Amino acid sequence: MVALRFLRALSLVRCSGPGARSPSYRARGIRRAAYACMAASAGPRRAWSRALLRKIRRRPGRGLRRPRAVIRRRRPVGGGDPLEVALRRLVPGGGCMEYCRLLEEAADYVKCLAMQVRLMQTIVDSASHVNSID
Amino acid sequence: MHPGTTEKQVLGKAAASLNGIAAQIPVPELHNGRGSEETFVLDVSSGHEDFLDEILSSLAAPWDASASDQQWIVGLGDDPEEGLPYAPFDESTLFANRLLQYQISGGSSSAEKAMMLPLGHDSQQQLLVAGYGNSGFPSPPLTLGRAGSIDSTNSSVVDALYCGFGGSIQHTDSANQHSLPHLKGASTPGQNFGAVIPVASPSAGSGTAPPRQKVRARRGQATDPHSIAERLRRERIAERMKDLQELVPNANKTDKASMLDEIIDYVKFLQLQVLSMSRLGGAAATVPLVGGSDISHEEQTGDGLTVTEQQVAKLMEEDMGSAMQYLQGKGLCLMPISLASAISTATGVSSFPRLLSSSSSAAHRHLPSLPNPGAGDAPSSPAVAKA
Repeated sequence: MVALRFLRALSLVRCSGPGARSPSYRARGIRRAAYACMAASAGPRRAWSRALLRKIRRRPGRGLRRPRAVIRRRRPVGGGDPLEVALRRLVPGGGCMEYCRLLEEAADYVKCLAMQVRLMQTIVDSASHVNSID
Repeated sequence: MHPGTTEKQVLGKAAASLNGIAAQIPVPELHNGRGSEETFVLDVSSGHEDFLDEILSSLAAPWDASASDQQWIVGLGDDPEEGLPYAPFDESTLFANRLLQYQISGGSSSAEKAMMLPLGHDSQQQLLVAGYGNSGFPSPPLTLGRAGSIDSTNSSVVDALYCGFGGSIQHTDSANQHSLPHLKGASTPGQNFGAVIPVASPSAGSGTAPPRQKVRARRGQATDPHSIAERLRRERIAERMKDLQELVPNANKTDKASMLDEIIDYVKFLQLQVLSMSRLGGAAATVPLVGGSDISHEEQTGDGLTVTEQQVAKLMEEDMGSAMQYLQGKGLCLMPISLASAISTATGVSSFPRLLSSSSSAAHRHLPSLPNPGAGDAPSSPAVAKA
């Protein structure tokens, strides 16, 4: 499921300007596309996917904030454990969750990340094999 | 210390197991220059305190030896001129190191691979490295690290040894009762060390939630709602940690803190991988496809690499990043000649048939202008090797 979305997004990024934009801009676009596809395929049931999509979509329209019926807690823990703080920073949307929930979301996030990396690796491998016949 | 009769029995059983086990593993440190294993059996029947002291002193010796080994290993890790592929030149090589570490953690253990482990972590991991370096270093075969899954037969037997001694050293009756099942139960590979001790002392309360054993609460605590909720919460956390442990490679840590550390590192590593892949994809359009198709039609002989080399040199003129990505796409890497020669002499020349040192003037001209010193040492020119 992720693969289809990602390939489609990738073609969009490439079509927008192969010669117009710098490679770093394209790289950033690819990265955004990768995270967006990952979050979209994970579904809205996961807190990290919602937070990730929110972060990605927030850039175009900054001031437009629709009032949503979302009860979000701010800082449930004072942040005593430096490891826990680091994990919260790494996992998207990890600032407002309880510790138990954080671990759960982290597990799902790691699983999806690994799948995304495997997918990208496969794409790169197939692309490089096309170019060079050894 | 005056060990009673029960302790003598435990010591006797421990010594018997030791004798049976010592036949399997060569444990020279335990003998302490005594000459043979039979003296242990004789000592049990006659001397009591002396035997205990000997055991304690012999146990202390491998610990000291492993401590000195730790420093030695750390020194090796810091020193990049030993020929170890540990020096992080730039982001890609540092990243490749972590990749190798994660790939290796699932495979077997060998002395060279042990050096790739990050040595800045806690002592448990250092003890692990001491256990890994059996073939190369004169470290004691007693792997005192808490991981049981390095070498399953060896460490499980060693765990039995240690459990037997740990049970004999404790002076309580409960220890005597529990040490025997420890000796038998530790034959299962990967038995957790930390899980054994809480069971041995149930009266210590439920301070840390052991991941495998159920926590037996005291009588008065069972009805307290706060402690029940706490216990429930801790159990849930332990369950989640176990799930995470299965996902993350290199999951043989029993300590919660080091496990969290490993998880954090793995997440950072995955994010870094996504970033570098997207960079690769972004720059893939700049690589001239004409040059690529030309190479694909030619035969890649020994001289065929010169075409690649010229292509790389041309790319280096405009943008270093695209040159690196071109190389990466071909499965090649850039390394200083000294390292390449070190690797080729270490692994045999046959494994690197396509080693080609860049002698073109273009490369020499552009070496001083490199912004990052990681692309190669200043005195030696880069060598293109088939990775």
